[in-house]
Amino acid sequence: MNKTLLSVSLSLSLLVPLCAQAGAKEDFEKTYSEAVSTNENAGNFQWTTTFSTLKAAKSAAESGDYEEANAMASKALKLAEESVVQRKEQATAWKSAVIGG
Amino acid sequence: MASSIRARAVESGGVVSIKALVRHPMDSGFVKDSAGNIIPPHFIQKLTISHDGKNVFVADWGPAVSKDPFLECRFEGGKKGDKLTISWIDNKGESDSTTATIA
Amino acid sequence: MLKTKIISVALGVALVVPYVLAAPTPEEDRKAAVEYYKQMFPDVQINDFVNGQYALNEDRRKQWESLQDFPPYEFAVAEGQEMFETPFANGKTYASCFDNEGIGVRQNYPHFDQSRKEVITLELAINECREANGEKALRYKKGDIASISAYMASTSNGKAFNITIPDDPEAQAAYQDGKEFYYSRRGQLNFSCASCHVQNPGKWIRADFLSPALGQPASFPVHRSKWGELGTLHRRFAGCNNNVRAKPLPAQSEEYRNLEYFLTYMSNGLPVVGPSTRP
Repeated sequence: MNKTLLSVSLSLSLLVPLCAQAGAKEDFEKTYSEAVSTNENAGNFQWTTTFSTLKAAKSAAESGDYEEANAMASKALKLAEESVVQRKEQATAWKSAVIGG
Repeated sequence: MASSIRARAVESGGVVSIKALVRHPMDSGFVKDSAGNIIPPHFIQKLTISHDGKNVFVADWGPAVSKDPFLECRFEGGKKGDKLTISWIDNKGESDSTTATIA
Repeated sequence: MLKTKIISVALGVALVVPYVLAAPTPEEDRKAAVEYYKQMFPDVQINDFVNGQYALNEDRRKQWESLQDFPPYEFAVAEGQEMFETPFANGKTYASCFDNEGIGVRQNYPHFDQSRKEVITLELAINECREANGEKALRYKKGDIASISAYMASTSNGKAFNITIPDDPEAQAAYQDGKEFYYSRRGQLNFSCASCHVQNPGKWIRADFLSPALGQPASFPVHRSKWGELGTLHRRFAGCNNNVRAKPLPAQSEEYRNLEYFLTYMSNGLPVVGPSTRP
């Protein structure tokens, strides 16, 4: 009874970090692909920093550091979102800067 | 093949002013190309200007001098119409020289 | 019922007409820009604007003038001339692709090709000439394309820019597109071209002295001390975009060509001075 309990709890405790790892990986993949597609949406207004952050996220993921990868992917998503806002605002805002305008 | 040296010499008040532009990559040997490989050192080591068989200017250059070096110098004793010889030799043993007439 | 219809149509027209009338023509834009910079820099001769920062900064001008005795791009221009005159494998030369055999034509570029409905820049024309004659295209930012472009520009030295915008909706749209690009803020640093070159010429940005937009394309291709070599206008566009953390667009992309169209039109009447040197 005790041995079974011990072995079950041992395997469970081994599984938990594996699950957390799998969870972090899925989170990363979801955030990363959202960041990539948001970045696409920025059209001609993409930022160099979005690209470099995406690259950092990808290389962190490749080396297995999903905590860092997730942090970078979230940062990249935020940058991409800001660049999309810029594209939308500038579609009309540019007129106010024109000489003689 | 066009000369790698373009030079102009002007005499005024007994002083000859020389300006020269030299076409040379002057690779230091520390820079990498886009593939990540070191571009081998290739730079002028000595540049000499001579007048009437005598060296009036000798420069010991090296990797610190940048690409297509420009030089300006003056010396006394040249006359209008005299010829100057400007020559250089680099670390690979390549060399070039040209003559300029003092204007 | 009919009365309502008439009123709503009249109202619609009344709203549209002022909008269409309000959008300035390229010539109105250009005149406004010239007036704007004249007021900002009353002591600068109009033709001197092509010298950028050297028209505004005495110390830099002196250094530039002493450099002009032996311009660093001399070799590249001579090499450009040699390439320009050397026949392709099929026996033809660049002269066969250009008006006046390619001599003294820089001031007409970029121009709008009404059949292809796009802006043709000098560098684009050079590569199209190569490809039409069985040669490989050159890379657009530096190297041989810059040398050939520099040689061609040198044959137009002093000629006034003469960019035309045909009364054709696509040409007008290309100009407007370039204008919109110029004034739109971009990059993480949120600067537009105008932020520096319209709002702040004559000021320093770190160790760079800002030049006004008027006359900028006239000095290209340019030998930048920073590059240690010649570079094309689109190389500079990409560099500036990168500086404000905006992802640069490909050289000779439609957007950059439209931008060049807008910018060069603004410099109409000013002399070609390319190639030239800058820090």
